[in-house]
Amino acid sequence: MFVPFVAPALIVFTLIVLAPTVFSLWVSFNEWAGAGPMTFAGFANYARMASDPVFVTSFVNTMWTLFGVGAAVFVVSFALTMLLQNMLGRKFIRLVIFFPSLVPGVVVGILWGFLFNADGLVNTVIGGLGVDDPPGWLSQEHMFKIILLGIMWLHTGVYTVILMAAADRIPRDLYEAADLAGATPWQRFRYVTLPLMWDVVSVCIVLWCVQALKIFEFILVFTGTGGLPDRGVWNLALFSYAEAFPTDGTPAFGMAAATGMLILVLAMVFTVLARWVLRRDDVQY
Amino acid sequence: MPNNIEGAMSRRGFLGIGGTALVVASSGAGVLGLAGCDGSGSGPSGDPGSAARMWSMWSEGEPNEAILAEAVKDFKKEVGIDIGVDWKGRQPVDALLPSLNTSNVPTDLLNGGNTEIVNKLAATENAVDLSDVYDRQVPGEDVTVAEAVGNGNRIANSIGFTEEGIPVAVPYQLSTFLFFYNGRRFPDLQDNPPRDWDEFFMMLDEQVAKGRQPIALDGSKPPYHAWYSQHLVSSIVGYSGWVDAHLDRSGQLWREPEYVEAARIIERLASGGYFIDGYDASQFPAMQQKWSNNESDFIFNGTWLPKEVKPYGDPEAEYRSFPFPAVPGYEPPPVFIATQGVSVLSKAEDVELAKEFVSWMLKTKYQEMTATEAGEIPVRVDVAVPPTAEGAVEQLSGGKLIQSAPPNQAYWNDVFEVVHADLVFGRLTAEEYIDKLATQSNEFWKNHE
Repeated sequence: MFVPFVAPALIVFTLIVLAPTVFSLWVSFNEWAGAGPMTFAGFANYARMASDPVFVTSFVNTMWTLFGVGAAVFVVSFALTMLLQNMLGRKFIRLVIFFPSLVPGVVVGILWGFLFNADGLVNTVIGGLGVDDPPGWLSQEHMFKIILLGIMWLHTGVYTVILMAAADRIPRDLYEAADLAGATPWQRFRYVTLPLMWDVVSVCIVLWCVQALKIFEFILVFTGTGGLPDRGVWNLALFSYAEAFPTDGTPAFGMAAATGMLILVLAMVFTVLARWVLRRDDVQY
Repeated sequence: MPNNIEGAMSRRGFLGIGGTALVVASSGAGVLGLAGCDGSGSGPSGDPGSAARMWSMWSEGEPNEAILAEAVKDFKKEVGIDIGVDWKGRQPVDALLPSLNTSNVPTDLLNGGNTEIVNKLAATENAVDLSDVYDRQVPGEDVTVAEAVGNGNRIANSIGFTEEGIPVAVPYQLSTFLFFYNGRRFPDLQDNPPRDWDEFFMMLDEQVAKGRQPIALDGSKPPYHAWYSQHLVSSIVGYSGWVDAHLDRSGQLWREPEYVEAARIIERLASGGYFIDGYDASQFPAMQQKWSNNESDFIFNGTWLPKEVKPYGDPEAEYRSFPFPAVPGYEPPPVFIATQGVSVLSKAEDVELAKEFVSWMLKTKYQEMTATEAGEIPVRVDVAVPPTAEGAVEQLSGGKLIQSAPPNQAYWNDVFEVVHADLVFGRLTAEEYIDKLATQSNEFWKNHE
């Protein structure tokens, strides 16, 4: 009886999500150049993952983004939320903080490259402060750290705005009661703010888990090479892309699809884990 | 190369839709969705009513676009066949691949790099055998395609051939790699270029003594530094020795003294203050910008460089070039080239009609425009090269020409370029570099048997 109502959505979902996913799963068990003959390869593409140093680097970098940048984004977002909670002009400041999220990652990636060039603005300022030999920010040793910083800068604004919105709906009298009880700022955060915005925090963390696994364009354009960047800064999304669209070599859609399947599994696992770890009873207020 | 980024972003846009499921989809069937979009084939100058269609690697506004557009215009006027062109930008095969799985292939001809045509189009069995085109006359001229492109001329006719020896592309222009300099600053160099690295180091030392950092290098582009070893090793052990080391499953061949000798020259460059500050920590094209404004003296790059730096370089500069010097006591390295050409798709609506156009680009008029308008080297030896690439003339006429594509692309990208960066950026000595390269080569081949 409900089938006629569900069918259109089900058909669309099947066509644009399920079917491509199942096809990708099939491709991941094959060697295929994107066109022409497909050769069944079993689990060879998956087996290659563990022994391919480029893949391992990409995986480790993805985990750095997910956990390292994730932790930094939420710590800074919470700090800004607390800092701005009672500040005058907070709406304007919120706008300023949110601004980086409005700028396309591609633009930020290109501009940050200029900022951190050997004689870019950053080193010019550092040199002006009397440092004779400023670091080469875009050298292989430092480039990934700068990329992580850029990703953090790009995403902190949006999570700060969401957390601030969640903090805004907490009744003021709860804070007044905390003040009367002699609570410190940390205690106000720990026992009032955090518990009452926990549902929002939980959703934000799930969103970050999905988002962090898909970061792509910022890394691609950061080095400005017009091709693929240094392999030391790749993540899984970039690895998948490079396998499917190599600069000159023959495309390896099987490996690209296998990496895509891994990203899918990671996203599902981290989402479920995050929901499980962050589960709390709803606080009514 | 804005089109690379543009293309990448369109795919990223697709990657970003609808969460992780489509991230997966993008690797496989998801890209099929793009086929429909590209399949319309109606680019700015692509006329759906054309007799044949072509996807080109050039973008609108580029000199090469103007040359191809002129050829297409003349072809319509003189032969009566209208070719609709879509200016796709670099690596058009990437955008084309998904549609090749369907019966609705949006183009009949493909204009692109020969490596791309061989490795992607021919590898997926989508390129037509052009043997018979090589036997045809260049339209209106007393020369066959094989004679224009073939042995004894500017390039060997194996360029654009598959491993099985099937010609799948006809190249019409080529690029090679040279040391470029500003002829106004070094007026004597054109007649007296350094023949080997002893002579070159003497020149470099003179510049260093003047407080210069004489060599510019955009280290963020891995091939730009890897070309140094490609030429040095090939000078010592020949091209076959270069290939053998790449394909040596044990990786131990790299430990032979000849390979160490090549590495020592790069170690000397890296440790001797010859490279410009920031070569290891900047965003392309920062270093070639500095060179084009005389902040450095020499740069090893492709023949496209003068055209690339023209918008921001010293307007008074007169770019000139000389070939990569030989390692002292050895032969000069072979001439590594990259070529661009035209191929015909297996699913072209009318293969014969498409073939008609392939030889058209070899007409003298477009060959001359290739040199004068695009500053690139025409394949026909009876057409002069541009002044910026005159340093290559002697080599091209007498040297051994090799397609620049690495012996194994995955090995080159995943191992060689990565380890080589450690040497050229001064993080490893020659011996440490050889040791790391031998070890990682062995590991790579274990995983890629």
